[in-house]
Amino acid sequence: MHLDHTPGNGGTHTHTPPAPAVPGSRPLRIGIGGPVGSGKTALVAALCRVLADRFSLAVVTNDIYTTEDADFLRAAGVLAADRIAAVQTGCCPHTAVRDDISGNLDAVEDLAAAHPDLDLVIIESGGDNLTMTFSRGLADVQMFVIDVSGGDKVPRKGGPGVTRSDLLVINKTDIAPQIGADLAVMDRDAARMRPGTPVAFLSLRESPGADVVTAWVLDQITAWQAGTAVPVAAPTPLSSTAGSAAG
Amino acid sequence: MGAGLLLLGDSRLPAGGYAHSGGLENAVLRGEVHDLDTLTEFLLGKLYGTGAVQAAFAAVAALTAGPYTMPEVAPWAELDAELDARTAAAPARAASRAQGRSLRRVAKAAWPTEPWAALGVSPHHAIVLGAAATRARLDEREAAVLAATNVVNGPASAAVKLLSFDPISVTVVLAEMAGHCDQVAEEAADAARTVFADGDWERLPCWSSVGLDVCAELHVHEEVVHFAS
Repeated sequence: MHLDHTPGNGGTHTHTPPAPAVPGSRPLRIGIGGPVGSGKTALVAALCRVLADRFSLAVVTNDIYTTEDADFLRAAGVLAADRIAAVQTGCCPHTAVRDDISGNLDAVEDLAAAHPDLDLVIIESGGDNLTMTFSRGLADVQMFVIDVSGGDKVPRKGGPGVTRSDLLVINKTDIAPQIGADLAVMDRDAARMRPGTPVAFLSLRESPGADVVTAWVLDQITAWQAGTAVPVAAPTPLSSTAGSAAG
Repeated sequence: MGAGLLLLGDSRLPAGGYAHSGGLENAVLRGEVHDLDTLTEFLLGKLYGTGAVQAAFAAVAALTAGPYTMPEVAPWAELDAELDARTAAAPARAASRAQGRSLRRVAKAAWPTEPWAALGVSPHHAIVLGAAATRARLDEREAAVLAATNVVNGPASAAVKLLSFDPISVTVVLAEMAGHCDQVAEEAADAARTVFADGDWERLPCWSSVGLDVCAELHVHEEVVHFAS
């Protein structure tokens, strides 16, 4: 053992973590997370259809197994096949976008190298639970997609996905009457769980272009490319989030 | 031993390891691994086969990187080619390079003044591991221990997820493996020191595990997989 030597970088060791990306210096990365079946892939497809004419886009999918989501996007023809990459997540979709983002970073870097003009990379997580969030090292901004079929209680259950995302999307509102989900309750609870951050109600059946989400994405791209700060969810301690949920 | 060993040996190190099962998933799909006894056999075979090679390359990489500032000029390309030649299955080479790329990213962030570019964009995992070990104040034997334990810990963790094994029972298996890992690492470090002295890289250990090569090749053709390898 070399107990007597100075560690590798000889006293110049820095405690500064890698600097965050300068807005505009590379493609904007938007994370889209949410539970299984909440409509993430359909939303990604809708965004691609609307945005692909105006921006250079790429998508990274994180399927739990297979390459189902990537295959769906390729089959939908919303993007060229070489603009879609699939990351395998070893049974841990949240790990791949939060705790160990290396596979996703590799995919993003490879897409950026193959398409130097990229404006936007959409990173879709595998379906997970309400605690899933994207690392800020991977996604500059993130949305969390839930749907009404889980019942109108989901927003008030909280969890970092609901409380910490930059945009909460409540999807499939067209089937709320059949489910018996009260959208007003979801709206009220969501506002209480994530004060000051936006919530979007969406029905891709009624709005195939996902207008409300598209508008938010366009705002993010504009801010990123202008080099202005992108809104980031306030780093609220989880304990105080839980407190506000109770209150 | 220092904290550096725990830093680089931690399964939570964000270097992509969690997405790989080291051939275990395919062995499960083939019915080769289905209980703790077959898991133990799998791990022993892997450890004394490719594990011994990985450990030797981690050790020789540690010797090459040296205890002080990493040399600007080093035989990284030669070591890379030697390990390539010892990894018969192309998907296994790809898995090694994917994890090496991720580990290099972490190492570059942790020790930013070192010439990591010299290792290449996607170096083999064992080679980066050995170089990174020296930055964490570890020697060649400890680098070999890291590589050897990595070879068994990843598949064992995957087995818990894929086969719903009792994690405590799997830890018992790993506890039995620890002595084997130390032995493999000791021999790997000895081999690495001998070879490093004369630069005759061809004489580095060249064990292989044909069954694992088959698993690696078959895995990329499976329709439903959870792990990248």
